[in-house]
Amino acid sequence: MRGAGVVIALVLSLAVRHLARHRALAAVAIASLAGGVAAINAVQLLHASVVRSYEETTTRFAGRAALEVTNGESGVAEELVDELRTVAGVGAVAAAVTGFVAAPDLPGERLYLYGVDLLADQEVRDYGAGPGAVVSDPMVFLAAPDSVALTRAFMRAHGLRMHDRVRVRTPAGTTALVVRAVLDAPEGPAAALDGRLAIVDLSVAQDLLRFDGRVSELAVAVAPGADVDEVAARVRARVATRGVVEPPRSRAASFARLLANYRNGLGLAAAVALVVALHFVANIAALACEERRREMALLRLAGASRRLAGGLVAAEMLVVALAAASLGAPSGIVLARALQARFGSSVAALYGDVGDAPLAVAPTALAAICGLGIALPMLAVLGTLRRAGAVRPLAALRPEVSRVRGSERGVGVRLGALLGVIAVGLWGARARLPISVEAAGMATMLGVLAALALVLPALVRAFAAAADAWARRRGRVLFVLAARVVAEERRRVAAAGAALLVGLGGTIGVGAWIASLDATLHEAFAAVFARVDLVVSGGADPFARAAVRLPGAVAAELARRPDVAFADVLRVDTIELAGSRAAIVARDAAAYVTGRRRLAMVEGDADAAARALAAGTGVLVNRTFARRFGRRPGDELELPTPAGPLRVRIAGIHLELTPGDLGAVLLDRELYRRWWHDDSASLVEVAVRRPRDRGVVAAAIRARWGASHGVVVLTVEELRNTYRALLDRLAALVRPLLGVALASALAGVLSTGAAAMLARRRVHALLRAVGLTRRQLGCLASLELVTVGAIAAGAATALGWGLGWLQVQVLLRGMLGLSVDYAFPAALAAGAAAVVLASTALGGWWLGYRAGGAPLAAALRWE
Amino acid sequence: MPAAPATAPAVEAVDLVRRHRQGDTVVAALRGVSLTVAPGELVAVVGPSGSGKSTLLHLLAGVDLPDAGSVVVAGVAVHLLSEDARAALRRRAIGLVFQGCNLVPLLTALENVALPLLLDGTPRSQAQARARAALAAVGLAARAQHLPDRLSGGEAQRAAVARALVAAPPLVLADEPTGSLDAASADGVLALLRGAAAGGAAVLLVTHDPRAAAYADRIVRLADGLVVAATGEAGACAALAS
Ligand SMILES: Nc1ncnc2c1ncn2[C@@H]1O[C@H](COP(=O)(O)OP(=O)(O)O)[C@@H](O)[C@H]1O
Ligand SMILES: [Mg+2]
Repeated sequence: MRGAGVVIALVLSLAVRHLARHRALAAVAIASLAGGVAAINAVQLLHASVVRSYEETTTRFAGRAALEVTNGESGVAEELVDELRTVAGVGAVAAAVTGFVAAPDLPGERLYLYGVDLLADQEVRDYGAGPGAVVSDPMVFLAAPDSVALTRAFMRAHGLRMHDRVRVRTPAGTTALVVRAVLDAPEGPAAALDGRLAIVDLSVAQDLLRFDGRVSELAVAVAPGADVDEVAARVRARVATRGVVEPPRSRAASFARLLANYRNGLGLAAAVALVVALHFVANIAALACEERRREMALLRLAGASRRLAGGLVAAEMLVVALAAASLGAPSGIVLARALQARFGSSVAALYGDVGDAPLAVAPTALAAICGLGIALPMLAVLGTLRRAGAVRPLAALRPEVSRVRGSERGVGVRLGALLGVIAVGLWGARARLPISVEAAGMATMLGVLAALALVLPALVRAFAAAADAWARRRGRVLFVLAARVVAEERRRVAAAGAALLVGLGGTIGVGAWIASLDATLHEAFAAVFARVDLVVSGGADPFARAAVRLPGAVAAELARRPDVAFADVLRVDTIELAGSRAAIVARDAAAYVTGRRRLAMVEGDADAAARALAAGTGVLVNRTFARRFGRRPGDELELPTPAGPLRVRIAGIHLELTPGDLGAVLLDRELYRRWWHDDSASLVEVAVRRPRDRGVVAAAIRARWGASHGVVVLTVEELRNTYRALLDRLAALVRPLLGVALASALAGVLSTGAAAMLARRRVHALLRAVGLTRRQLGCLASLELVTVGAIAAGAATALGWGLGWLQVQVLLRGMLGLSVDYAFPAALAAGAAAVVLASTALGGWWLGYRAGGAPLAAALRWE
Repeated sequence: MPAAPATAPAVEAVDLVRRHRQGDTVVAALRGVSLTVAPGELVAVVGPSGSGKSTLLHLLAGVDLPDAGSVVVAGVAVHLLSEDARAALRRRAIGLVFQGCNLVPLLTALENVALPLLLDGTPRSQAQARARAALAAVGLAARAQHLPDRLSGGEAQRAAVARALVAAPPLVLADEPTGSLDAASADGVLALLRGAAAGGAAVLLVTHDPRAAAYADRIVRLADGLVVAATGEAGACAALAS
């Protein structure tokens, strides 16, 4: 037992020493692996936290309710309350009107306005019985319409007391509410949403949130002794297509399902990082193996078993993997913290606002991801380990054995080729497969990436062989030598090239992403905001989470202003459809008929579509909707609305920029008003009569509604600049990072080049003894390194193109619903490749020239 | 510089001094060695290990520079040339053979032999033809396409000699070329060097091998960085060599 301990200590100390010698490469491998682990960890954490928080919130709000009736953010008709009370087996029905509102006096705070019929509601939910609690005397509370009940936690956090006034900004304007009750129940709704809950009477909430004649959801309690499933069936039959009937748990589950698409997308993006990291790890293992053939052979000569030789490399990989996992786990948490706010707002923008979710670290998930981070690299280097174990003791006796002729093992290459073919085949057959286009795209990209990693050494070899043949025909002995060195050291070259490949490929990929967004933004603004001067929204920039809808009256008054040519309302809502959610986008169809605004059609005739929209018989859908719900122009849709099912025909597919993973349905605002009883505006697009008065008009709008509605007025240029600034910020964040990655990859190439110079000291001395000049040695080294650079640049261009495509076509389009057109940043790619080629050429020349200055006599000594 | 007369020595070294600094101590590897080798002559340099034989050879080849003294090869003052000019001189005028691992492992025997010509810009076909001839002359025609690790020690050394001779240099320097060879192979290599001298080259052979004396025209004995004895007669050679 003690013997084994000694061996393990020896093996570990050798591993650590070897890693220390290859600090740069080891650091890159560890950092990238840790990055992959951290990314997956963060995605899982964020997703789990949001789902858990949603689940907790739903169960807390559900109370004793066995069933809930919902319809996205659109809600259901108020009459359903009375209708459902008559259904056999139903014990109680409680309606609620909900929505987030801003609290302008408490900067950055939002409250979840929760309107309930207090008397009926207590049959379903507990609110707690603190001093002055709602339960103790509902009549006092109900007597005044401006009463609000806040949680003890929220009041303590903001130093509020009973009878204090709290201003809230709602789609009805800014209103002051008076605290007349304190909520305290640790298990009830008060404990949800971190205490950011404001309970008001149902009718008050309907007023403030502009929910005329409809409610957000119904909670249904089953009568004692009744069978839940039977009651559910009866309730479902009564509700029919007016909403979705679900137990609270399954509602949370369907939310998790809805979000799964998003999580999978992010998770796969993180997996790309992990695959890239595995590539590094496999390369450092190959390097360890090549470099230590002699060491291992000597150990074998000294009586070490094959297993020990393999164990040496395994120990090294284990050190790398353990270091990466122990770095990746905490960085994942840090990353999740950093991304929490952004994740929250993107979930809000994509699926609906579910409030802020506190991060909850689950040790088992964390352990599983770390385990994955340790197991995957070990799997990735299995082949290398086997090769290490196969080193024969005699190898130690031949110091400079040439292995150029040793045939490639072939397994990795064949596997890589197979993977590549499968990946491409998968993409080709995506239409016939039972998976989404996004999943197919992701799988293709991952496959191609892994294939590239596996075949890179063979690629290097093939390139070197071609260069060799060419140089031999020409009698260019330096080229021949360089080609042979590259072929000989293809693993080292592949390892160095891989780092470069990733740095450069990443740069090009991100460049493609930004270029595409930029190009699309340009086009979109030209199409969608043509003729629009100002964008008016409530509370924040129109697509931010803190934005509050504006009352229709504001839009109407805006349109009547003499200095305004037109003011078009945009209302965005959501409904439940076919087990998923869809966005409803309501606009004034008349604008399209008169030609004041243009429709950007993807499929179908714009004029016919405009007429169908205005007639209220047709709607337009976006590409995401068509794909997700499998609907085509001409198909009939049945949309659940608060006033019952609305039957319309799809008149065409158009370009919809409203962000959302959700498919979107465009319909006439008049139709929306009729079926949803809602005339509020998510934002108003204003065209002024005289463009040069734009600033004056904006100021006037601000003066008129700034205090009451917190309106934000942006010129289209400002809006565009907001987005461009967002892009620039993104680029400013990403480009230096990539620059550092690229620079460190270049430094890595140069340092492996320098190591190779040292290793080949004697060969170089021989060459110089035979008459090679210092400059020729410079050329030789330059050729060697530039080969690494050229292969990396070539592969990186392909990789960058693919990564960019993945981000744009699959991530952005599929997940965020953005119809972004792919643009390849040719100038950036060419520039980056030129930088790589120039620096490897110059760096190699310098290394060779410097090596040529070393004393020759000493290197030639045989003793 | 006037053209050297036909009888001029192929290499002339005068009062060569070379010191090596090792930490605080200075080792004088050569302390004033003079030596001349005429065309067609084979001179053997013998002496105990550490006496400065390799250092002398390195100075003659321009691989190392003397602290004092001069080296003239084919009428050119080697010690005054730049690094690259010395390399060019080696390609054209000096053939070098070392004890072991003379060949570039990644190049075939033929490519190794053609190397000095190719580095000098000789057209490929011409370089290849001459390299083939040189390989054939050392009996390795059949091994032209083999990589060094496929050659035996003796074959590799013969290929190294072929490379040293391929450019028909006036000076050939060999540092213990038979040091790691068996008797038969060693004889083969020594015979080749003798042949080179017969062809008109000046050959300087550093050796431990007592048999080398049988091939030498003259023997120079070094000890402690100085020439301690020299002989021009074959008869005395054997005595000196032992
Ligand atoms: N680069 C060097 N640094 C220090 N000492 C050296 C160096 N090269 C040679 N020497 C010393 O110079 C002396 C002569 O060496 P060398 O010419 O190799 O002898 P020989 O070839 O006769 O065995 C030896 O003492 C050796 O240790
Ligand atoms: Mg010596």
